[in-house]
Amino acid sequence: MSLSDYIKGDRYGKEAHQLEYDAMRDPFLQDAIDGYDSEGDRPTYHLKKLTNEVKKRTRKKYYRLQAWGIAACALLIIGASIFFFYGNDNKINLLPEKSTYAETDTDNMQARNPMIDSLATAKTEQTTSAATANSDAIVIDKVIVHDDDKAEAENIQEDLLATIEKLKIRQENQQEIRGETEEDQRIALNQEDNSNEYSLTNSEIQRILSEYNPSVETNSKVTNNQSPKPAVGDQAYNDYIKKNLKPLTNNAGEEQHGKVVLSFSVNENGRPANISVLQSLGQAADREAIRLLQNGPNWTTSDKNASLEINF
Amino acid sequence: MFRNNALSLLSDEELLNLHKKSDKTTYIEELFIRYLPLLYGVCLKYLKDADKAREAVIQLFEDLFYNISDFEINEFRPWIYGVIKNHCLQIQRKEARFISVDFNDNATEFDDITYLLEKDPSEQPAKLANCLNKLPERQRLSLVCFFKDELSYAEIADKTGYALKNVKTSIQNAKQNLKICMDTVNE
Repeated sequence: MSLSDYIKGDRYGKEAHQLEYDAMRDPFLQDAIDGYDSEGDRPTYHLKKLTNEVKKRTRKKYYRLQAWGIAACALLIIGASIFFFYGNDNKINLLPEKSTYAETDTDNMQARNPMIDSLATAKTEQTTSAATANSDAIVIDKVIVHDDDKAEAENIQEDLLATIEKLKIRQENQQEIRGETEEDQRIALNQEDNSNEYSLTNSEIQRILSEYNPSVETNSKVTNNQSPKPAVGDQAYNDYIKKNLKPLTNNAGEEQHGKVVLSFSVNENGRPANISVLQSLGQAADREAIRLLQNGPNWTTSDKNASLEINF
Repeated sequence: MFRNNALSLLSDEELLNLHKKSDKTTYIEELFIRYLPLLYGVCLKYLKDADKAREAVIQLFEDLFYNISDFEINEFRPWIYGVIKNHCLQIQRKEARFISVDFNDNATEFDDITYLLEKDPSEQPAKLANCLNKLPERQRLSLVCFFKDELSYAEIADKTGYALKNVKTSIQNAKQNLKICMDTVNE
């Protein structure tokens, strides 16, 4: 027997007994039956009305979803056309080094293999070529992310120049150290050495790059190592807590104060999970703190645990 | 019509998975309508008002419609029970402005007593019979009718002349008294 039959008034017979018996072990069912018994005025009528309302709302939502889909498509087309007219110029401005890189690279090889030219000049050439090669990669990354925003692109260009400058300085430092054993270097230096150095700086660049703009690679390990933060920002999150925190009262109705500290991880959807209480302030306060966290805004995803302090 | 029948054969969890994978609204609709009687009943119990309960159920549906896929739900039934209780609690809090409601329901607290009572009389401990005899007449009669004769609440009410509500609370109280009695005998 189903619950809806039962509340209709079919309360006799073995099946009704079975449902009542089941309810003794099922608080969900028990609560529902209690509800109908206490406020059950024309329950079938109300349920039917509710069912119709739910159906009406899903239908409305379905059409709204479709409308959103069409709107999104339209936006995408407009965005793409703007990209072709406007974005192309940007790209040309930002990527002048691409062809020079290939040239310097071949120059470099020629200079290195016969080892006729002085080591110093070959080195500097290599430095610039490595730097431009790497900056090439950076430029491409940045363009993909920001090519629709000219002002930001300019900012990034400045950042890039600074990054390249840093790289040059570091490589020159390496060169100085090398200078002491220049005689040995002259013989030992070969293509392998060259590539080693190259790959090292490449990974360094990745690190610097992600420091400059962590949003470029959201799924990279670098950003994952930071502990989670409210996705809406600390200020907005505090406002949310302030607005929604229910004051805590004891049995006498006086307000209680103190703090609850929660620890939790953040899942891939940005929702807090595995919530545990680090510092408790009684069951009601802990529950209220957990409720705020669970219903609150998203967090940035991370492998690390975060902690949240809620002051009552 | 055929489609609807096919949907009603699916389990809650299957419906949830289908809902996550597709952008159709039929799955979530089926799932929610399936639980409407339970959800509405729980809201009636905690909000004690038909209009408020209806609003609460609709509001929950609106909330879940968009973000149900964000939750990791292993078993839907206990999950939605927790959600609806929390939801009602929040609505109550908003009205009361402070935390005072005790939601610790003890309806299923006497599981071990229920287990003893449904056993064959020959296997029941002697204490139980003693304790049963100590119960007030109304509680004892309701309890025996329910567990031994397997009558429904309504049938017990007809047979004994007690009000329906009293039958229910009598059985609940009888179980509580039995547990207390059994525990003291043990010590």
